Amino acid sequence: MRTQPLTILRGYGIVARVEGSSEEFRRLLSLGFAPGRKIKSHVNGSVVVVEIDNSILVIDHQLASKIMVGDRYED
Amino acid sequence: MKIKVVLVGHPNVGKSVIFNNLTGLNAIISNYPGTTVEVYRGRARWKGFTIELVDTPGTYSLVPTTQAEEVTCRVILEERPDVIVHVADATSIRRHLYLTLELLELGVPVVLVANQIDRAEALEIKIREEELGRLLNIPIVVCVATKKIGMTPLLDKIIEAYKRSSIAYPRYSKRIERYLDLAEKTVREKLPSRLKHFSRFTAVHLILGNRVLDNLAHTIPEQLKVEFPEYSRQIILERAKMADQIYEKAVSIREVKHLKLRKIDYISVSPVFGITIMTVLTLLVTYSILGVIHEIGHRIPSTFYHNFYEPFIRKIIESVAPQGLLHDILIGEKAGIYGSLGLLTTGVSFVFFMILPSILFLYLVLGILEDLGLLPRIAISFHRPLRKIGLSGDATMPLVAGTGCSIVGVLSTRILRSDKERFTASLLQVLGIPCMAQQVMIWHILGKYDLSYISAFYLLLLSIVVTLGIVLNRITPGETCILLLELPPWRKPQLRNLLKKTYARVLSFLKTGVPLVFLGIFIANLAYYTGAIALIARLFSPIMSNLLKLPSEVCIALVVSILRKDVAVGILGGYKLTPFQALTAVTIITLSFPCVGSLGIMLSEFRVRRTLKVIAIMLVTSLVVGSLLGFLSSILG
Repeated sequence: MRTQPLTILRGYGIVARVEGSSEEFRRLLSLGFAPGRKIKSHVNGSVVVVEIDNSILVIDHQLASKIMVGDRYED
Repeated sequence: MKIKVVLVGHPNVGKSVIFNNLTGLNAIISNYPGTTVEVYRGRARWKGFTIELVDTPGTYSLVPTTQAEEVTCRVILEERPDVIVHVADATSIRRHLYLTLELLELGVPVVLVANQIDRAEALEIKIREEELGRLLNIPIVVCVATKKIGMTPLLDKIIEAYKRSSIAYPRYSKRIERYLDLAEKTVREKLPSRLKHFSRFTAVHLILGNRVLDNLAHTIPEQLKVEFPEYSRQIILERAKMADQIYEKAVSIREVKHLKLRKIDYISVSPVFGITIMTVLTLLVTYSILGVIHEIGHRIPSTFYHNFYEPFIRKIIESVAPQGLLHDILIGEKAGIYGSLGLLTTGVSFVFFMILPSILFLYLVLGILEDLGLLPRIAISFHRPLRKIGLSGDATMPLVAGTGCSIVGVLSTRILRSDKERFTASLLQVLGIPCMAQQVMIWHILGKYDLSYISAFYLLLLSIVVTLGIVLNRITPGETCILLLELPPWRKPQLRNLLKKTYARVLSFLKTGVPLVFLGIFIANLAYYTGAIALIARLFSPIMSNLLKLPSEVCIALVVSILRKDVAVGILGGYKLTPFQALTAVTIITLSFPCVGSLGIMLSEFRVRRTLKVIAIMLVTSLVVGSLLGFLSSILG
């Protein structure tokens, strides 16, 4: 499956995996970026504004680059 | 019988509204020991039980990444609650189940509250309560906290959970469970008795690297620790998967409806437009508020003070103590708000006629902005530039509030998440953001020379604040300000919630800040009475004339600046100064020392050691900047 960082995503995607340090991994999963979750990127500029499970989250570019998205998720 | 309950949940899920609904008006606000994070406590009585409630700061996980989250974790471990109420947003319940599972690992009965069920129903999200309760083995309550729907069932479920004896921990795969068993056995023997109950939680959280449990890391042998990183990721992944499985079984959505962002949301995250629009909006809001504060909080009470209060209190005290130390301590030697330095004159007027009305207004407005959902939006657009000086976008409002009064500004930093950020924001505003009264005097003094001196003054302050911020950001340890926040929906503020929050915050100021303001005035009065101030002025006059190239009498203004900076700047009007000397004097009065009110608040918020650090930084900065200006003054004549 072809995956790309969330910072490149335009429109819909599925969280494939989360990279980064243990702290970043823990933080992102506790916020809801778990593999398999559907997301929609609303704004992809200096910050990334993403919709996940009826919530809108705003993330730094740096942190968003740790979220790999694709059309399905990696187990 | 007492039941101790802790309310836990993500930020902006309605915990405080539920807390207020259950406790009425008896909440007590306090800072968690050693921090500046607010914890609310209150009581409810139900069916013969006294339910003691603690409302904790919003958290996404019990493995903290911010000070507020750390406080939540510590409150749970230290208070050892009988029941934990997890408040979740019904519209995004899948994201909240991760925290529910984490809470279940504590071995404490949990009640899951799905708040905003009306909004979930509007989105055609169906939560099958019984199924969800069966899968998690805990009571479930659905509610609409803002309409007080579901509060009685919640109280019933708290009692039901309290009476339950069996607690089911979430079970991971066999491999993880084997590893956890091993870790738990090793840890249990060495745990202090107060934490024995949390042995499984401790084992899991040591593996996850929870900093709250750092002092117990030594209890795990090195050969087990080697595998922490691998197991840590596995535990987190399995927990997220468990949450998904529960969600799939207990929640159904007829059709996924995607959220629509409003135009203002798109604008606020665009760097150029966002910052421009939000700057204008922030300044408009702030200055209109400050205008009101100035009128109501200063002019009207000032008239009342001069015409009624001071003559009245002076008459009473002079009939008891016509002169001497007691007379001077209580009402001062001279009349007037600034001149008397008496506890019942200057002290009362500072606290009740100046600070309190300002605080009341600003807390109300801050509360409205918080509840409206505007603060996170402002935070986003200012995040990038502020990050360079070690602050996050959240610091925008406290910094702007500091232009009204640094006391209010410092108190407003309580909304900031990390301690480093709170300290930096407080220091920068005490040092480089003059209060409104002082700004009026600065305009008066520098404006009579040329407007360019006023511009030079503000540019100078801005460059000092930016430089100091960058340096502090480099050298101060602490959390880096990563932007990661949830954009709450626009909400209509609830009057009751707003008033209660403001009341609790003002009460907290009255209890902690006011005694220190009185103490500061008492000390300043004593220094005048004993002649210490005159001695200080004499001591520092060589620095004044040789280094700063200022007349030695400016020393008196500098000493007075400890009490009131606006008065100190006003005193400069009586001296013969060149325009450059006036600029230098105004600058060093601004930079050199916090006024007594700010000093009191800094002491109450950051304690002695860090307040001394602030004073040292201010003195060094003012000396360096003052010397440079003095040098320039001697060159330019």
